[in-house]
Amino acid sequence: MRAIQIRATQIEVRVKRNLLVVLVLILGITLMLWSGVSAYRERRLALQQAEANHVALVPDNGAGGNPGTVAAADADPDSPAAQGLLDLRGKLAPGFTLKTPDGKKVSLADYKGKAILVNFWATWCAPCKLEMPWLIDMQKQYAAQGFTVLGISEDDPPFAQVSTFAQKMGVNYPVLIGDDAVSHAYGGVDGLPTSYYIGRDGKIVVETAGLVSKSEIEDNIKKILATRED
Amino acid sequence: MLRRSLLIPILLCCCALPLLASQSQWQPRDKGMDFGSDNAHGEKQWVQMESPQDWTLPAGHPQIVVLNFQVDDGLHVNSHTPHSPYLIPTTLTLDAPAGVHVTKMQYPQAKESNFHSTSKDTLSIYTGAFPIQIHMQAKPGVYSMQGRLRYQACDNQMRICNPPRTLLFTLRVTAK
Repeated sequence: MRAIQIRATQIEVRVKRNLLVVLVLILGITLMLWSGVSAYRERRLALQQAEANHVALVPDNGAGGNPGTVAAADADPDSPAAQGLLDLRGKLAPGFTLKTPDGKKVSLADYKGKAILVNFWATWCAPCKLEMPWLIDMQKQYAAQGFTVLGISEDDPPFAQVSTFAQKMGVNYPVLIGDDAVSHAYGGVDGLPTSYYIGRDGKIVVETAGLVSKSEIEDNIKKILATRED
Repeated sequence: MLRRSLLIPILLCCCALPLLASQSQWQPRDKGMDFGSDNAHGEKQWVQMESPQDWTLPAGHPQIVVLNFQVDDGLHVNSHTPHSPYLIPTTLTLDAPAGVHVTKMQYPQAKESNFHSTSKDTLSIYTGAFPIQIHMQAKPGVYSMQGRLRYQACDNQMRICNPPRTLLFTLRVTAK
């Protein structure tokens, strides 16, 4: 009788133990499945986000191309795409308010109705130094017709050196301290000098990356002076 | 018996945990894929280091480690001693740990280049491969040090300049 009781207890313990094993197994498998499904969902979400940020490279059709598109290759070597620039021609120039080295605020909107040459430069940029006297000449020659150069410095602090450099060069147009937001708005200005010629209607007419000849600068200025304010 | 039967679920849980851990690693990596908003990662470099990162030196004696750098074709960088204070010199810095004493950085002789046909200015530059000699002495030990090459590159037609960059690298020195 006692042996039967002991045997029954042993069977009961074994059943409980097996039940526990099954429960832990189920828990383990559930955990694995849950983590697998969650990881899959995360990957799908990441893939969707990546696809949403996908930028299509559209061939530019020269001056008639869609403004704002980036072209990987272009037949026109002077086109913005061929120079590594975002094609902003025909678009309103991105507005900005920046400070001069002495802290005075200057906005693009302050020059509404004028023909403007926005010139990105830096004190460490030798070609920028070379074109600076040409820009000074242009400012002298065409300011009376409603033209101005706005020089945006891409220098790092301290900005006192920007002021010193500009004074030493005899700069006669406003020099502003650039920031990442403005560079980004103009398509991520990287190489210097980079210039945007803005018509009286506020739209970008010509973009150039790198040093161009004085005569080309003058030709571009004449183009923007010929535009009309809306 | 009990231990043996519990082994399977324990193993299963051990398998599930790494999966959970891998799931949590996904998030920061994906956040890094923020297209167009952050160019701090993977910034384009125009100079590369072509020397090995691992060096074995005799301990306690003055040694010269020569690091070779290569400027991309068609470009140049300012030398360590450019002619204008506004130009950014090529400068190598090493965070030498205790036990390593860097006594001197020796830069190569620069080339003189005519800046532009319309200018009388000349530039002091490095093009192609340029070596920098690091004079150092180390006590016995294994050291890892962070190196930084600060430079600013322009094209050889003097038409366009790229923004200044810092090339980061790690140098591992075993002194014995």
